[in-house]
Amino acid sequence: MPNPSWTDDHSRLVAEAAPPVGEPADAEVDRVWNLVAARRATSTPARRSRRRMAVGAGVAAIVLGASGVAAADMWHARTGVQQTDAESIRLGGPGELIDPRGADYEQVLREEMADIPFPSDEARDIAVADQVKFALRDAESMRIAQSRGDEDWRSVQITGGMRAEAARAALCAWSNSWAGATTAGDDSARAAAIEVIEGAPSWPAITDVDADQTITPKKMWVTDEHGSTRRQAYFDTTPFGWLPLVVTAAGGRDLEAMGRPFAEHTRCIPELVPDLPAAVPAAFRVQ
Amino acid sequence: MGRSVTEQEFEELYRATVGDLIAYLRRRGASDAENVAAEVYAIAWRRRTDLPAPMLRRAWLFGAAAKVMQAEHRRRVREREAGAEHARLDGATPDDAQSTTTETMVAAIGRLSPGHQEVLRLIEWERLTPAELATALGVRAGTARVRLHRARMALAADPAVRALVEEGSSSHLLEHHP
Repeated sequence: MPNPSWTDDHSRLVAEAAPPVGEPADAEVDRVWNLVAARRATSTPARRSRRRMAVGAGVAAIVLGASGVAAADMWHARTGVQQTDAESIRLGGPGELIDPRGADYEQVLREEMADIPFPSDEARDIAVADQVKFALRDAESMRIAQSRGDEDWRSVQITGGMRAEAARAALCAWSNSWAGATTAGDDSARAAAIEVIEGAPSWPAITDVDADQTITPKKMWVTDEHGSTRRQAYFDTTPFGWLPLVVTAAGGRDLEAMGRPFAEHTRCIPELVPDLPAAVPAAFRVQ
Repeated sequence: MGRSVTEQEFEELYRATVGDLIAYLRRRGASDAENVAAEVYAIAWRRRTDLPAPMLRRAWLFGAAAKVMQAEHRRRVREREAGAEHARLDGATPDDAQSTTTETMVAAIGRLSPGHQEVLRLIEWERLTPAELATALGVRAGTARVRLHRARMALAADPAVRALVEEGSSSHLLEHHP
């Protein structure tokens, strides 16, 4: 048998064996960037203590290191400690530090989001369940980190971030109501949804973390793998920078235009938008 | 030690490469590609004075990602959580829509040593040049070329791959000389 040689056919066959993967969505790119920012903050010597931060889907940092907070002694989610560090407030919103391990976490979350309107109790429950799921994950991460002997294993959430997450979920749900009413020709339900969506930019849960709500087109220099440099456009989005696009879309009847800001700039829980599939990237839609 | 990258340069690097890096991680079965990618860029930032020339930074990120994934795997083993994940990765098979050819190639690549597998994937899946391959592997260019050659010969010698290539050549001849 002759010695094997490598040909273009071999290269093609190996290349075609690559598992197909899609391009990451803009929201995903932003989420990773926020995670990088959180890690960079952790690796930089802090003025007072080390901090650990995670950013919830581009809305706000909701998990902060709790050094100096006696989290291990807590039985309840509420700590009674207010976030006072300016940088942490900028990233995660203002409010009280919350221990995700607290047995009453769900109750506290419901109290915190009580002023945020949802179109139905079912939608509110879905939003609550989503945050509880992540709180349980955070609690488990803490348990593992503690058992591993990590020095900085504690983390807490901030009510400002929790409320912002809930507000985003509520807007997904209201946009879904708008879509259902628009499709069905239910003018009354449509008008009710529009009224809520148009009022959302002034909800305290949103203005506390993002008073500006802007998307700014920017350009930057990028270098590709061949070493050539070019200008590339991108959007610099504040946490709720997509909200004006939703308000504008609510005045029309285009479901794609309504779903696009959610899919491109933030995240909707798929179960909240069954009538507005455009709000969720195709790979994550509920069938 | 090179010049440290600026904030703007770091963001430019991120925007230019994050899509490729996430794709790289997903092709290798990373269960949490977003977090791993974030860790890789955090490492890049911490080592911003050590990064290679701009044209080699994408490859450097792939190399760092491989190390992060290895570390993550070791951590899972320590926590006795590796079983399920390992089974998931090892048991990864192409879906029904993929061709028999692809299945054959996936199996043949899987029979190579892990080092040979990674070399071929970096070249053929991530489209790295040999110079970038050296950066990703953290070895000299000559060493990278030798590893690439050995990996290619190992795969080309696989009987299933030989059969595929010969079958392709025969089909090609038949198409042109019916």
